[in-house]
Amino acid sequence: MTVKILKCINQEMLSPGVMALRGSIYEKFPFKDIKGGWEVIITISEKEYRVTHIKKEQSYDVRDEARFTFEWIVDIPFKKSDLESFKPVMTLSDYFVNKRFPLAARKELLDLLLPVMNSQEMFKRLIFRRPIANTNIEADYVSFIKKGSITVVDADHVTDIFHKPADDTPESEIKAIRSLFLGIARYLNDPMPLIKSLEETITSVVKGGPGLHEQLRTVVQSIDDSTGLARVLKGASFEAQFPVFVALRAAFSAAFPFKRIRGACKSSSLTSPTYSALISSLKCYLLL
Amino acid sequence: MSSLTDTVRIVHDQKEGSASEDPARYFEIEWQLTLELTKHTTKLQANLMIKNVKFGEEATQEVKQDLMTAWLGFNKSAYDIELDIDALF
Repeated sequence: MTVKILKCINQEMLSPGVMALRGSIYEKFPFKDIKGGWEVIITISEKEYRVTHIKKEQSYDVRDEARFTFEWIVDIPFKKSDLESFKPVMTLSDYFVNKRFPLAARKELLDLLLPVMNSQEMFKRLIFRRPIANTNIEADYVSFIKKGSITVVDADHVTDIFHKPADDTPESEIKAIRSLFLGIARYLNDPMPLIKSLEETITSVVKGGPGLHEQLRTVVQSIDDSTGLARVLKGASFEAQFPVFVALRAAFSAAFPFKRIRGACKSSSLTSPTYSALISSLKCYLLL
Repeated sequence: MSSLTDTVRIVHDQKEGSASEDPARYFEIEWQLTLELTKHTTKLQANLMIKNVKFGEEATQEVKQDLMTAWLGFNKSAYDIELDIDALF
């Protein structure tokens, strides 16, 4: 067994993945290694052995408008009961594109990455491993406060952590953003630096300084990555929706291309008896 | 002040609509993503739910049928996730 595991710990195990990526993404978006960006994890459990290679790559072109990084995994499980059979699986586990990357090129890159994306790994990396500085967050919280929610759940209570804006005015948005950050800060051991920096930000915005998005980025980047606050803010960012986007796109987009709705709905509910019956049969999936 | 020790539930609500403006092919999907960070932050739970599917009034039965068939083939369980973060470090 030891020999089998040792045979899996060499660069040749990555060759099929490298070839696949070179044949697809590399042609249009050249990339290269990240120094120190190759890890091998060996897991030994009751039923199986597992060798996992994690590899990070970055764009050749490091200008902001062309910069992207991604991480991919080759997972090699061995069943203890059948050491001869193993099925390596390659997936994409993380992905970051600079905010200045042109939208059309971003879509093109995504089309190439989608076939190997792994939603579960992407959640894990985003919340626990990706630095908050590598999360595109500037506009996210303004959007999130309108549609999302954060609650703290303990044995006795469910408490909302922030108040939604009363309307779409900048004043209401700033008020809601403030309640979001202060609501989370209440749960920190030392919330004063965050509160101070947030108050300065709001004062500056109100006095006509740099915009709210830009200021929020400065505040968020000052937060320690290892704190609960950083994890919650990453969870509330638009990036956290990305694995869902991947899932829906993989399921529907080829036959039914779709896009994000930002304004009011213009459809009617499903009323036809036939399709009501269909919906009824899908209730295990739908929250109606 | 206490530390961030309770379960924190983060909910994202979103709507997607067909890229086509053709009223016969118009549809909307509303989904909800819930992320739960547990007490000791060693586990992350993510659940994806489709809250509603709607069609334009002129949507043909064929379009409705095709979309619902695509939905039936959607492997939702693959996106209900409970991760043991300890295994990562």
